[in-house]
Amino acid sequence: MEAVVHQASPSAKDRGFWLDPRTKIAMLLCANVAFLTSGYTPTGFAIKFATAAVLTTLLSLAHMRRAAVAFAVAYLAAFALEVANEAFLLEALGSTSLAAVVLRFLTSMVLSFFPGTMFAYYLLASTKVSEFVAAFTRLRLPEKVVIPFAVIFRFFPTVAEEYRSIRDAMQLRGVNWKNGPVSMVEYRLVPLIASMVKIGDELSAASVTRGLGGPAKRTNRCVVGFGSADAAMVALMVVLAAAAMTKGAIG
Amino acid sequence: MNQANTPDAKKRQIDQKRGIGVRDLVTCATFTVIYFIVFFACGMTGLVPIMAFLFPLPLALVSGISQMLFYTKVRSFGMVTIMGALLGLISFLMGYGPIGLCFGIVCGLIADLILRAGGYKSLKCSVASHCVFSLWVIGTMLPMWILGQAYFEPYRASQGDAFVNESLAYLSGGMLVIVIVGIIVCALIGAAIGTKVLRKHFERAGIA
Repeated sequence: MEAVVHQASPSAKDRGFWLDPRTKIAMLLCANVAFLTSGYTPTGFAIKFATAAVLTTLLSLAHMRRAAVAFAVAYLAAFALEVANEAFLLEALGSTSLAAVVLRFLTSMVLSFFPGTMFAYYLLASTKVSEFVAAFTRLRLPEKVVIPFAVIFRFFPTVAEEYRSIRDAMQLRGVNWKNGPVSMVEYRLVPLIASMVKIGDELSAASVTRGLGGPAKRTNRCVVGFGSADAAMVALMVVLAAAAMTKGAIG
Repeated sequence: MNQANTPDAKKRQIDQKRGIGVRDLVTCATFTVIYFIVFFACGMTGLVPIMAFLFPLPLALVSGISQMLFYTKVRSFGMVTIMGALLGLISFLMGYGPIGLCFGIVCGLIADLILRAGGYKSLKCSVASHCVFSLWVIGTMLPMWILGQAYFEPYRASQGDAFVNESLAYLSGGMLVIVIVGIIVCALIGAAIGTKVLRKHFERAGIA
């Protein structure tokens, strides 16, 4: 793939605190388990906070300070709301009313789902597509999954561009949201699909002539490998996930 | 579908023996991207609390259009499984949890088997395949169910049994069944719309 050939990973010196993509994937898995199974007991909250702290640290180390601060603020706000729920808000609303249930649902979402999404954001924002490809190849994922995976990321910018053109063309003809969702699908999604299929055909023709799908083993210039930081982070997350599973327990 | 009559039906049959090539992989990627755009557009409606449970319904409906076109391009076993695996993989990397990955692979595999049973030409099998494939989304939603139960159980002591039971009613297995039935119904309608769009637009444009 074009992207694989041109994007070499920066040298170890430039990239600062760098983790192997496989480490990040393992950490995401552990974070999912930790947030989903820790429950809402005091121990559970301690585990949630520890995991959230790890995530905030990772985000700031990866030069995503804004995201780190936003996440920390949102998480603390949700925790404050949870405490308020427990203390007086539910009494005021009537604990079985729909408003109370929705309120609890929202706090639960932020406390348990939002961190997973932020972790995923960290994973995707701090990892290049070529690094993913290198990591998946090392994980022995079949090439029939790795190749389309790389192609998908090649496609997203193209889709955005195509969508903008279609949107502009349709707006000139007076087709917009006012015409209802059906016409939106018919006049925007259908042309988008049609042009995507054409672009896909061209892309595969170009890739085949450049040797994709040939018998030779594909190589990758991205250097991936485990270091001491990887070992430490994985160990930390596994401990948190294991603690959540044993101490927190579901229900 | 009148694929059997199209000029390249013979070519298609030859291709079927060849297995999955690069062209097929790029096709999988293309339609995965389209599916994901629809997934996002529908997922946005999840900001309204009740739609957090019901967003798979419009997804099954609208994705029928792209899936029916995709199925006309599937020529060998494995392509639908790859698409399911890709959707699961990306949804996992986007933080929807690892259960979605398993569901993506399993639903994709079953959808693939149904499609193969129809020899990749039968319209009925394409529709059934789309219904099964649409169910993979359940995997991304299951954590919400598990979580909901864990969330309300500790309140038994402080808020009483009635509160907990009433709250859990919103998250009961019954709700899950409603969602599954809803997905299947919407997928059937979506496939019907998809077939119409296929005839009206894609076949005339020469891309079906």
